[in-house]
Amino acid sequence: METFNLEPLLSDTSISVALYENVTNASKLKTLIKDGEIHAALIKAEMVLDVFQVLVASSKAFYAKTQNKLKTKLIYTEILFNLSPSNKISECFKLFGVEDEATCVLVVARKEDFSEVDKHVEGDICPLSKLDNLCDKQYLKKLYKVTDEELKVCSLTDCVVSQMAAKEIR
Amino acid sequence: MNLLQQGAEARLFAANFCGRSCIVKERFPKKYRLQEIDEKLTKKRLSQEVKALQRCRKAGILTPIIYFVDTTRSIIFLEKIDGETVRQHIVSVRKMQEDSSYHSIYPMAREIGKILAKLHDADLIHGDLTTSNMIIKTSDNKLDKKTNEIFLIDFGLSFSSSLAEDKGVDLYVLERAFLSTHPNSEELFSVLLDAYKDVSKKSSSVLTKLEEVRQRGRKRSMIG
Ligand SMILES: Nc1ncnc2c1ncn2[C@@H]1O[C@H](COP(=O)(O)OP(=O)(O)O)[C@@H](O)[C@H]1O
Ligand SMILES: [Mg+2]
Repeated sequence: METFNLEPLLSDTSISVALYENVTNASKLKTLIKDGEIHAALIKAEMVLDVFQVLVASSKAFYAKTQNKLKTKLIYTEILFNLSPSNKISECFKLFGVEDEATCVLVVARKEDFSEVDKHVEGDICPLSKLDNLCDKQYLKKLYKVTDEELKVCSLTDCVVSQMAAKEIR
Repeated sequence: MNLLQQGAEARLFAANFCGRSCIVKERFPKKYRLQEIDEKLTKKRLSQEVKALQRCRKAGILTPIIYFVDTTRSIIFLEKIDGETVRQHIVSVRKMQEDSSYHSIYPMAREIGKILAKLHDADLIHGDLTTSNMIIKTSDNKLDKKTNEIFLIDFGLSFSSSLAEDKGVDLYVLERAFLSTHPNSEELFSVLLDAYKDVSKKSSSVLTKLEEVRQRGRKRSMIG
């Protein structure tokens, strides 16, 4: 687990990001979130190249909340939406949300909410650096329409992040 | 956030974004323009900048990564490129060396020519090519000068076009910028154009247009 401050947009907000493996209760966790018992985003770990990708999506989500400009219901669904290259809301849950049987889960929560979330996760917490092995690079490259030319001048994570940030501008 | 520069259209700040150094570019309203027109223009510049940054990178041209865009406040967060502008580089090289030739930076001029050929072959027009809108990234490895990389920035006036005329004007704008900011840089600029010719697949019609635009410029200055 690591904690990050969302400066310079929101220097009073810090989030905790944690990666779990061997998770056995993903569907239960989803219910707890739906019922508002715990406050967190659960992200399919295979879809994240680097924690920076999640920080970009989270900053944008927490900021949109302060501007009353959320496009989805919650900050946590907004994080999934921001991760997605598409502007279709339904698509982002399929792509980035965890399935009931998921075993690798990335959790994002406000720093102050994290310990409550952590208590409910049945699984093994592991370092965020493990994302690099877990993620499906080929699939992500295709999903974000990253070109080979682009990869000559830029890392895959950076291509993806830039695409996410630019997605509303057509 | 530290204010870096207050330009005519935008303020630039240095900041830290989730652990990375970034540049915050905020376009502000211009008082002398009608508010409604002004807002539209400001929005348009922002969206042109974002689109062009993405399209350039997809074409293999170095541009800063975009971290965050806020269209309401016309703010964009960009990767900070560590280095100096081509303008600063040329000025400092000239100061450092004994003679006033530009020979030592011919390789850089060639590199810029190649980048612009790629840009135009992708049917992208920068719209404001100057030596301040190019940044040379200082390499981590100072001994290996070849790894110096040139980034294009400041795409607010960019647009897409396949017309040789638009590309010729793009080059003409840069030529004017070169000659007015860097004295006696005619030869340096011709080195740049040679590299453009070598790389671009459609350079001949563009260079013909460039010559036409130059002549129009000369006529205009004779009248004016
Ligand atoms: N991504 C960046 N990294 C480093 N320096 C930058 C970056 N973007 C802009 N700058 C610096 O700020 C100056 C102005 O930025 P620019 O985007 O060209 O705005 P303006 O429209 O005011 O010219 C540039 O000439 C350069 O020195
Ligand atoms: Mg500029």
